[in-house]
Amino acid sequence: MFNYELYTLEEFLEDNWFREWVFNPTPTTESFWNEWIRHHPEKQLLTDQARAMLRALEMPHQSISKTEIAEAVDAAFAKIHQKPGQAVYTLPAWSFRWVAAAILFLTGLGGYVLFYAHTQQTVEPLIATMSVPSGELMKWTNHTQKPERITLSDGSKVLLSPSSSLSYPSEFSVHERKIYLKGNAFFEITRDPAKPFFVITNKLITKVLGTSFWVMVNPDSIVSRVVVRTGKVSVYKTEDLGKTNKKPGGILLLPNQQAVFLDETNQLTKSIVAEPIQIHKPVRNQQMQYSEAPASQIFGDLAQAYGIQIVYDEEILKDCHITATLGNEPLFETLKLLCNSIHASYEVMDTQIVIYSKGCNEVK
Amino acid sequence: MWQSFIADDEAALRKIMEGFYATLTNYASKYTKDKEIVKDCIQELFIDLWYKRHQLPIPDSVKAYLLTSLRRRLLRQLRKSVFLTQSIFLTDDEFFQFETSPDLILIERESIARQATQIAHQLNQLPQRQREIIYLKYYQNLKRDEIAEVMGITKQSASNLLQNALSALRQALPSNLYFSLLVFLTLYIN
Repeated sequence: MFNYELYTLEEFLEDNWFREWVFNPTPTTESFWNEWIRHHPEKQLLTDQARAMLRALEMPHQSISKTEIAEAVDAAFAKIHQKPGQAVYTLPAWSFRWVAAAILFLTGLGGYVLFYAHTQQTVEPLIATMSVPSGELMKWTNHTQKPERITLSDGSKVLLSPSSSLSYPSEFSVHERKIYLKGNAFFEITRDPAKPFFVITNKLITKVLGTSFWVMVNPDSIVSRVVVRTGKVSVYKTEDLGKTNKKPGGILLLPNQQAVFLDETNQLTKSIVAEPIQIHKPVRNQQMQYSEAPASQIFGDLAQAYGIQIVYDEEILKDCHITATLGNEPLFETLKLLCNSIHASYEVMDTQIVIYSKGCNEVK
Repeated sequence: MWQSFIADDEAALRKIMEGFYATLTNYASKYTKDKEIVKDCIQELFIDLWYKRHQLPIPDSVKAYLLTSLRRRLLRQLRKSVFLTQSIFLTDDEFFQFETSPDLILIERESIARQATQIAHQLNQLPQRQREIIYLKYYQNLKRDEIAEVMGITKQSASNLLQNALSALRQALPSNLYFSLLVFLTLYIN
């Protein structure tokens, strides 16, 4: 027998008898190896590592049953017999299968559907554009340490971060504007509802009509973001647009909102940006000076100024009054101060801020 | 068996497909989680083989030949079905990934399943080509020449790549594996 006592990790990985035990255990292999490990307990660690390594490479476990295989083989040969006697390579049925790659288009309601000319399922496009970039893309990579400005043919401006790159056509197509990003960039897109603007990265696709926002998708980073300053933006997982006959779900972002995509969970979630900016001037009380004003009024004004929903219980807060002048502090600082003054607290839930309070009935 | 299939023996091709189906599926699953694409590509591969049987060479390694064809096919397919323009960013190798979900390991001791998940995670940190070469060598058990064929690189590149992959792996693995890996690397380089 082989001198397994002297085996290294690599040798176990390559040993057919060991591999059989791991991948195709039989009573023979089981008894042999369990016995052997019992007699060589100091080798347990090593054999465990070898097993773990093989499992890691194997995942997902081979759960293909003989029946499944037989079915697949039958299906293949059934197809072959549909065209008897052909010794020439022509499979017309297949050529329609993945026609023209993905075609992205917009339905009237602002949603979208991915169109595949699939022989089984077809979804009728309302607007179909086949925009395969046929080598007419310009590519710009920022090799400097500072952000670089790029102006696109429609007047849109891109601020490209260092070490990022942008591919874009010299002239946009008729129905839409598409550019391809690797890394981080800030976009200021000129408004053109007739030509939606797509920022395509390998993980997320962002669609806008006219707005300013950040897209941050880096291949080495497990977190990707789209952050909206102004306007409205729709964000989709790039892989969702690659699936057939399934309407991809995207999320709609408003100003001060962001979409965060985590590689690990493969989830796209919406939340408030870390540092919201004021996007509207307050309708009344431009100076944001309050004197014994109802707390609810101040929260209402803040919500309006930042475009973020602030949720609170009107009843509970009805006796709460605050005197304050709000300056240029960051929103969350302001909230903290306000809440402290009425013994309340706040919590960010997705895209809303919720105020918790027990009310202001006691004399302070 | 290859010879029979080339000589119009359908049953021979069936046997080949049956024999390699699981292995091809496992390889394809590293490229995409989409089971439909996997099934379609494999099916297409064999249908193609049948139609082109009179023009096929006799490969040194049927396994390597099938893996090579499947890889080419998968990449072609994935570039199309994934949102088209990803091909602008992605090179061939960026598709290869190990699964890291422990529930995909059936029938295994929990401590090993956990270790395996850790290892898979570490493996995914390696550059894509290194991942693939480790897989081809230690899971598919291919020889250097076969690996070179499947990955479409020269034999020398394959050797270099494997050396790099193993040393990168050594750095990536948790320290309790360090010693044993050190031992095997020393032997390997010799």
